[in-house]
Amino acid sequence: MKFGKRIKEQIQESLPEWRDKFLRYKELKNLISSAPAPAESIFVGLLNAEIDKFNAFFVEQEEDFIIHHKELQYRIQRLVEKCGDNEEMFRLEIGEIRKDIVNFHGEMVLLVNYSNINYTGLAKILKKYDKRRGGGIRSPFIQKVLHQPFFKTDLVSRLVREWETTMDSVFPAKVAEEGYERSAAVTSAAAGEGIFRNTVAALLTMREMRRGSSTYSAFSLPPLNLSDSDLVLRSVHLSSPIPIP
Amino acid sequence: MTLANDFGYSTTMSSSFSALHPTVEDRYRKFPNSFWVSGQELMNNPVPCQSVSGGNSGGYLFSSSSGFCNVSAVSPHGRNSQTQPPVSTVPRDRLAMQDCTLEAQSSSLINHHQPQEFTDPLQEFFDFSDHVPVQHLQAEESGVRVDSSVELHKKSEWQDWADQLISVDDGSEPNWSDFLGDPRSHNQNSEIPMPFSDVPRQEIKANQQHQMVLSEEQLIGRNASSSVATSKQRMRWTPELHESFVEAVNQLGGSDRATPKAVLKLLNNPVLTIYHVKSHLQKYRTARYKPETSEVTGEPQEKKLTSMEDIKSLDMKTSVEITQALRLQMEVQKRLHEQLEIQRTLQLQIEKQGRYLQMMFEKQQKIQENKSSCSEASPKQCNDTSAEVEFGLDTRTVEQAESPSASRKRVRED
Repeated sequence: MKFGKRIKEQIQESLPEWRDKFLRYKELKNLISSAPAPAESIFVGLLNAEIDKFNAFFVEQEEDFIIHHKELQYRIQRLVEKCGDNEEMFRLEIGEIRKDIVNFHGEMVLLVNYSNINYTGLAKILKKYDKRRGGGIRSPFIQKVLHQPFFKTDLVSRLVREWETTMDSVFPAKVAEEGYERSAAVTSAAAGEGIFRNTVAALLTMREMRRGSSTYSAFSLPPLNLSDSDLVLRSVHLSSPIPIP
Repeated sequence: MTLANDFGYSTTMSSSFSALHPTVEDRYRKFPNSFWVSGQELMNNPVPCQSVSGGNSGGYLFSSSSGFCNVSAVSPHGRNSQTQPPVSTVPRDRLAMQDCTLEAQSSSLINHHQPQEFTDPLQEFFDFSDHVPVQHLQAEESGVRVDSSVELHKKSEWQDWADQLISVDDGSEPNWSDFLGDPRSHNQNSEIPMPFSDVPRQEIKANQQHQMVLSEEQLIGRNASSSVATSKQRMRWTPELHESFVEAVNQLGGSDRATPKAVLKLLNNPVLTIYHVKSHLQKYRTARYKPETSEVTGEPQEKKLTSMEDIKSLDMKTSVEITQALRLQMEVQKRLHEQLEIQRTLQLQIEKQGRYLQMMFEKQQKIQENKSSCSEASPKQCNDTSAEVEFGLDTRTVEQAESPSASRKRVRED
């Protein structure tokens, strides 16, 4: 599957504010193919500008996440204290917070995804450039990319995992999962476009991208192993909201 | 004992819950949650100027009014049913401030005699919201300064932005030209949890000492000769730093009373600029006033809220389904994240491998050159084992590929 197509789909599915923050893969690709091929300094300059864009966006999002992370913690804290032993009241309000947790988690994951997609795109575009120009700028350039802020997703990943841990505390103990299909329908009805769809799209994209390609080499990633892929597929295929009786 | 323990909060959350005295708790229950927040924060972060005991502290705590905009927003049952003003057409920041203006006039608990703090920040927000995106463009790391349209756009906004800053809070601001033209170096990741102390308020000059570190991060493809004016440096926040920030803000009386300059002084962090603090403070305020929007995207939660609410009101049983749905969503997200991490690790490995191969290749070439150029010299003098040392790898694999020169590699210089 072509990366260009995939990144385009990703962008389409992504949250609106993000759409112009991705790598301009297609434009760069066309630029490389054009005659005459761009000089190295120019091309590198363009890539650096893209990287600046990634960094700016990523760091700002990260900052927002940090703030929100704290706020969400406080909210839960407040709620727990407010309710004390009053389970009824707790249950009523926790629903909103649960939703926020899941969505917040999703947004953070999407940022990690953003980072990854752009990195992958850069690697590919550099490869294309070298192929066209017969040069060797890919390797040293990519080395430097590895040290860029947007690539260093450790903090966000850490927060992501923290909320995964918190899930058990905030969500009720797992009941027998009957009516799984129905609940998935509710999800797609309620979430619609937005974080969930974006996430699913991202996963599918990843799987596609890692299927064997014509240029499979030592530098290529192995095929994606999505056990439970039916989990993903099920959520995707329920496209039409089922009316709730 | 309490719900908190049942849900294991004390282990999963970073701060611990203090069991409050019943009367205090009752008192707090009368007030909306928002006020509770400031009280709670202040209690969990004991600082000299706060009094935590029941009676007298009431007035002080609530005058902090950090959450006054939430007065109408929170009630136990009505949370989902409150009518939110239409969000879709109005920028988030502006909307939040509009709400606050109304509330400010109606609530009697708010300090009126600080008009400067209220109106100016509000004004600042109205004007500032336009500049928020620009601000971060300006603050981005200095890569190579390509004369793209982005660059030009940035520069044209500087003047407006500078004017805005001048009109804000206390009058004794340092020279703005210092900020604008300050050839600052690149920022650091600030990972130092700032020791929070009541330092005597000293002026922080614009040209304070920085660690002038040009890390490799900022130097992609750049010539060593090009110097960059970096008053636009970007700050990378950490949770620890943010916590210190929150403490400072609380000490100054809450997010509305705290001014960027005061916070900056309290934090006493050499890497932070007032510029960073200012933008962070604004984000912080926004996040607190609008806890119910999808925080980063500003995407109106309304859509989701409405559909969730409809479902909820239809039948209580469906709340189980909603929970199930959320679980499903979480699972998918979790999966994606796992895969991303794996992918990243692989990509790093690939690059490392590639680097090694490259190095070996270059070494091989060099050896070939040496071989031809020093054919009369002793083979010993043509050795170079630095690559192997760097990677700490077994040379056997390499030797298999380069058998002719294998023996030569083994020989070390005396």
